[in-house]
Amino acid sequence: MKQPWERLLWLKQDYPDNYTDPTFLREVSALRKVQSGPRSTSSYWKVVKDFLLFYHRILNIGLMYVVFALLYLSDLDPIFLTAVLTLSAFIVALARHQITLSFKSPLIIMFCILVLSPVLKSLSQTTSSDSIWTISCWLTALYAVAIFLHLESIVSTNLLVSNVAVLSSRLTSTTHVFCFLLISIELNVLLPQIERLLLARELNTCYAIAFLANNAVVYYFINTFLGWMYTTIIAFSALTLIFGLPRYFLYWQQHYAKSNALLSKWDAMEPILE
Amino acid sequence: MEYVFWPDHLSTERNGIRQVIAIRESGTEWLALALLTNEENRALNCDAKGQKLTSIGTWDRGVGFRSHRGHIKMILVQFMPPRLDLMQFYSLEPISLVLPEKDRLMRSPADRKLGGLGIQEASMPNFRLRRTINLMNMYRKHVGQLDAYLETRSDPGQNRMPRLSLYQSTRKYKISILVRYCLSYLVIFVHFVASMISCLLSKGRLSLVNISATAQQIDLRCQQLCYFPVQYFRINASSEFNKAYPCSENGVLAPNKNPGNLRDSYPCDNYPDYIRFYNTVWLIVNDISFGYSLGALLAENRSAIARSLHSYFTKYLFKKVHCFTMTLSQNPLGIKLNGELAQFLSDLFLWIIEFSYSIYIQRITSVSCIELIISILSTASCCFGVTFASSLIVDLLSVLTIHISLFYYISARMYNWQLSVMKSLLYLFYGKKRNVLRNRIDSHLFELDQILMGTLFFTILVFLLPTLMIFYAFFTVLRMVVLLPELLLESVMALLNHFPLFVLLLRLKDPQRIPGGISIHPIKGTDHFRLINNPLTVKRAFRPYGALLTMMVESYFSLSTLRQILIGRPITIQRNRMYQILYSALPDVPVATEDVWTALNNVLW
Repeated sequence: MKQPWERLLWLKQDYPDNYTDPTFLREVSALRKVQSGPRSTSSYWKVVKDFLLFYHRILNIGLMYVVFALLYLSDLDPIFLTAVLTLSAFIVALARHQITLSFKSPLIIMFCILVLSPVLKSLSQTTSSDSIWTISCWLTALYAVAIFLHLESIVSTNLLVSNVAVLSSRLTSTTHVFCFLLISIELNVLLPQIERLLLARELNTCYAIAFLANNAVVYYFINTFLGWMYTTIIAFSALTLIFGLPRYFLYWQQHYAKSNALLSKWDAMEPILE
Repeated sequence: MEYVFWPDHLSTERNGIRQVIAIRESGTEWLALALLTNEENRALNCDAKGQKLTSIGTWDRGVGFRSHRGHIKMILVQFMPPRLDLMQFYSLEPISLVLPEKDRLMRSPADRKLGGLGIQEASMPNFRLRRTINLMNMYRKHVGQLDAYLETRSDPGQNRMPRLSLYQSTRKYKISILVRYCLSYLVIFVHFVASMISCLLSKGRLSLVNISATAQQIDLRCQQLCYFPVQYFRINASSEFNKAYPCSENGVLAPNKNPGNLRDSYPCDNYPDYIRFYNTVWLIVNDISFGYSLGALLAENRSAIARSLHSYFTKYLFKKVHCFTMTLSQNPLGIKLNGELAQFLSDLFLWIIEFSYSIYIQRITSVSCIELIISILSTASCCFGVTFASSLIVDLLSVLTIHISLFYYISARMYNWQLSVMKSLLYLFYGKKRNVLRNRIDSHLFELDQILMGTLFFTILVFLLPTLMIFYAFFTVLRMVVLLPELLLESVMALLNHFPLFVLLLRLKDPQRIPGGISIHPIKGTDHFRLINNPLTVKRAFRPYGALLTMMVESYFSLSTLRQILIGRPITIQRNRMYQILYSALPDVPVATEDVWTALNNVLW
């Protein structure tokens, strides 16, 4: 039986030089059809929505830094804030399950955090503040990448906890550490889950309110601590991220992505280097 | 084609044509015994006794050997007849300086792979060359018998005594009954006490032998004492003893149940025993004479040694260790450690240092106490030998550095725990967990709370790891430094206790006595061959040391040791493994006292 013909010049094939494959004409007509019509791409608004979700996660990280700044710079009593957030988390969780919630595992986690907070506070005590800010910055960047690439939740959780552990050595007391860790977990693990739930149930209004509130809090604090210059810059880059990048993505998908099997077959071949 | 084994001195016969008388037993080649005149030959042939002896040809100096059996080609293999009375003999295999059953300990892993070869060798003990060599070893006995036979025929009145071997002649003088009684009771008493001590030291869950070098040394001497009577009987006593108590598989004297199984025994079978016995005796004498000089040296310079030792011990066992442990808590080398943990560990170790120093190190290392210890050492060295003194020093050193070993074990344990916890948390990190039932790693979906707890602990452990690692590394290095002199002393002791001195001297004096196999070379210009005894190589004599060195390198300087150190498994001196190899000239279990008693009775009465 004869080997099927391949469109590769460097192969020695058992076909005459002027051989024309029977599929050729069919493929040419299909190709003309594809080339004359617009290339199918993702819808713009769908991409914008994806970027919005990612931006929302980054805002959650920003919330964590807001809490840290509050605890580190101003002598706010952390217990009140923590109690409010934790209670609301429980209430939301009750509403979600609508049945008796198991209190055991949250309580165990809370007590563990309580017990370990002195250790967490002392872990990087001897490191200088500059190093701490640098390490925290890198950990945050890695955390963002982990979220963007949808890595397993355990990787991002680890990065989050390491970040909190690094930052908590700068706080004044063990109570602060406890509250900061608990709030960070609530903001970065529980809040995204709730928001995802809202989207899944198509409670778009609720989600929009949460998103706007999140924005308001973060930008208010940026404005307070860093001034309007920074606020403008950050807001502008956020807008670019949400509305500008999807355009670029679509352009890339249209011209460079090799998604169509037929198109990529007739594209110029790239050598595979081993 | 047949071979004739031809003693060298027969070739010097000058008086005309002679008949070559040779002997052949079943499954051997011909062994030329003597050159006889025709009359003598005729006299031999007409007697029934001479059945094994045959005239196989004629010898003339000018012509050489000419065979009677013309249809079969006969080839001469020349050799020097061994003198059994001087304990010379030929052997196919190198004689073993260790007990045969302990030979496997000496083999390198490459040898162990070829274990099948050894089995083959052992399963065909009776092949032709081996039998012939056994016959060759008995050459002088056969010649003697032939001579005696011829002489009695020519002169019936004279009854000639067979010649006695070297050590049989030493037993010829008479011992009085009283001395015999005293001797036998003394031997039994010493044997009993020695075996009891050895038993006490090595039995039990926590055998002292593994812990203390002194106990090890005492145990070695006791085992040697226990083995002395057995060795003495084996090399010295009559053949009845050997028949009743052959050297059994595990080296213990056991009454032979089925005499049908008895192998042919030759006098040379006991020569390795002779070498081993006198090697041990010589080493003990050497040891004690070294001990005298060392003891005198120690006693003379007692106070000077004590003063310098005092300052060294105080400086290195207390002050330096104290100082370094303090430094570890204050970010050594600019490495940022966890302050609290480092402080805690350093406080713990400082407390142990101060406690052990005030409790015993201070007292032991005071000048007067060191002087006392040195005088004890010099006495011990004079009485029991230099090995005993050095074993005491090793023990003393390990007592004095007990706090360092303690630090090492504590930090190794903690480090190991931390690593194993981190390993299992790392599985959680990957979303895996260990399946104990199937002994493998399975994927697993963890709940949120499990993940949170795991990451919390993992983060904490990761941050604490450098601190523990620094402490562990420091104390590992310290422990290695402390182990080094102990290892050195133990190696010196091993040399003094097991040096193959006797074998080396025999090799110089008479290589024929330590055969390491044979080789057969063609003689140029003729179709004759020459059989040569290869003396035991020096490498072979030091084989136990080679094995010991390999083992030491394996257990202290290998990649697997490095891995053990990296994962925090404690490194210890494995005395029992080390000595298993060096004890290769001693049986595992000392011979029971009753056996020695019966054997003594058999031999003396």
